[in-house]
Amino acid sequence: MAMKQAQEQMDIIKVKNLKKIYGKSAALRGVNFHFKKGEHYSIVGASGSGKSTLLYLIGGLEKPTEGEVLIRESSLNQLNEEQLAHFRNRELGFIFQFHFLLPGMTAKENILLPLQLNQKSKIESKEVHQRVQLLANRLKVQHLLNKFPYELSGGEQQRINIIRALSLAPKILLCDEPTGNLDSQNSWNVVATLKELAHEFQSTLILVTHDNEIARSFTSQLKMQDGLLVPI
Amino acid sequence: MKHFSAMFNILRSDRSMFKFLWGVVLGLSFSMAVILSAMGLMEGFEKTFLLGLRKASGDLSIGHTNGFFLNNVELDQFLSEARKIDALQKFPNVNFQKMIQSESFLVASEESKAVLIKGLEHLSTNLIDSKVHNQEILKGEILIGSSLAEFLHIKKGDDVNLAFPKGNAVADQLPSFYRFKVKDIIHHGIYQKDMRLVYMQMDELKSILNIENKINMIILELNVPDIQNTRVLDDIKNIEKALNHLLPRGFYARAFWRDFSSLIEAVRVEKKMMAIILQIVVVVAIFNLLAFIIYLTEKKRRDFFLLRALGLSQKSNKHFWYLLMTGIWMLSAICSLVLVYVFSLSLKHLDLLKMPEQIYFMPRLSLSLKLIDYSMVFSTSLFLIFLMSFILLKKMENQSPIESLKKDFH
Repeated sequence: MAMKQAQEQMDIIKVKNLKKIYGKSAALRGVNFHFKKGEHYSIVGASGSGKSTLLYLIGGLEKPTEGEVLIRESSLNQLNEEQLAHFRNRELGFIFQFHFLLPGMTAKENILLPLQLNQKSKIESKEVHQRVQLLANRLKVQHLLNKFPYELSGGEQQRINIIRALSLAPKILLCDEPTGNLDSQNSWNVVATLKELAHEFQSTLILVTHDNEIARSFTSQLKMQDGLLVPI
Repeated sequence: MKHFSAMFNILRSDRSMFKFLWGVVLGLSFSMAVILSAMGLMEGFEKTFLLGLRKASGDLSIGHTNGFFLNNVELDQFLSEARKIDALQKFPNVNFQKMIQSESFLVASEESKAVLIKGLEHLSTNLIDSKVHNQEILKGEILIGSSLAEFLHIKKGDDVNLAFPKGNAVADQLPSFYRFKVKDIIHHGIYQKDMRLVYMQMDELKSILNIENKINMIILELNVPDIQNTRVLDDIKNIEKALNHLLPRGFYARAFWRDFSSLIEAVRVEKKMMAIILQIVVVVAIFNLLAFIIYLTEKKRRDFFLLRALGLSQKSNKHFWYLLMTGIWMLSAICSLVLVYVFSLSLKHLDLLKMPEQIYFMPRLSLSLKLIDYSMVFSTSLFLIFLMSFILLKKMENQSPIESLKKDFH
């Protein structure tokens, strides 16, 4: 019994019989998987295999056609829109392939977006500002904070993106092909940084990638195949 | 509210979006201004027309089917009785003006025009322009309407002749001519009245017509400023009804708009119909607004998706859209007020917008809008904006963000 409880505490995300059907095509055909707290996962798979769909379902950005996602034993299906938004804001850090920095905002304003959107949290903004400053120093972008996205290179934009994803110290970090738009050197730098920071923040890292070499550098490697998630 | 700044930032970051937004605002404001102007013109026409009629005819007139009737003690007693009717009690400054009305020809500079002469007992009346209010018309003096003066090229102080059909000193079946000095030129605001009316002293007209103790009209003036107020018009209707009930056989009372009641009613109906039909213009403008929402959400799909991923709720998202819609509506409403003001000034001063007064009764139309007109136009447009935005947002809410996002990359 105690072992089962300990196991459950270890599993931060549980995906149960997750299905997602768009029109006539099924992106996910009944995915079952338990993601452990603090673990780093890579997911590979062909284009359209449902990798991103799985991430967005875990992030509560999409509703499953069938099945459920449980975060610390709580089903996302039970949460209303407000609760889901709060969950995304407090528990998740999203990193996307195309950086998704708002063009009209400086790097710093982009980084502080999750804090801005966090209305009900008692989190001290001072604490967030300090964390952002530390991360900016660490990722060597402190001099870029007042610049606009168009003034930054792809690698710099992705580092800003990482700081934003970690600004509220989320427990789950979901990365949708974060290196897809970067050269090899920058890709490896970004992946190393992500692993390092996820480890420091004790966050569960799930990274979707096309790059098999990057995928292989993760301790847990998964593959999306025919709408199902299988360990490699 | 902090998240709104992020959402507004998405908007602000795109110049083409801003240009589109301004287009939407101008389109919406123009359509609201069109409705307001159309309603204002109708309202302005009615108001000016009623004021003009009232100036020319008083609030009510009392006449007799035989034409002339005796101006004696019995008539005065009747008028004292009439003052006591319930419907008149709320008007403390009621005034009964005895008068004689007759037709004649005004001859000046070898030209003549048929006129309606009103012989007034006294001039302390609203019948006459405020400029000459409280002045007395002396014997040998007349007041004439502005269009008549213009038509016959008569100026203040000129001498003119009035031709009456009979009583020539040489041959009594020929017209008799009387010379008068034009004391003033007055303006009622209605072409037909300004072209026809001539005022003079009642006693002088009596002596010209050779009638001693008779008159053919009594004008009742309530002396209330807001004649267009529907409640006052209702009061006048009630007074008319009460007087007709009280008056001896042969006498009748008529409200001042009776001769034109079908025209006034037509204008009122037209105003309502215009307001309804012109809502189509607003609906068309709102389609632009919807196109703007679609354009914005399509073009900035990734940015809005990012905000959702970072924790923006659907509720906050909706609030933003409704706030944006309200902002656009407010801006459009303000712009429409400016446009209406410009149109109103143009109506007053541009010759291009002068009306043929023979057809439209008055040379210039003016805008007159009540608070209820503004609230009707603005609230209807806000309602339509919210209704159509609600339908669109509901439809958009059902779309999968991922599916639409994927379209961007494939």
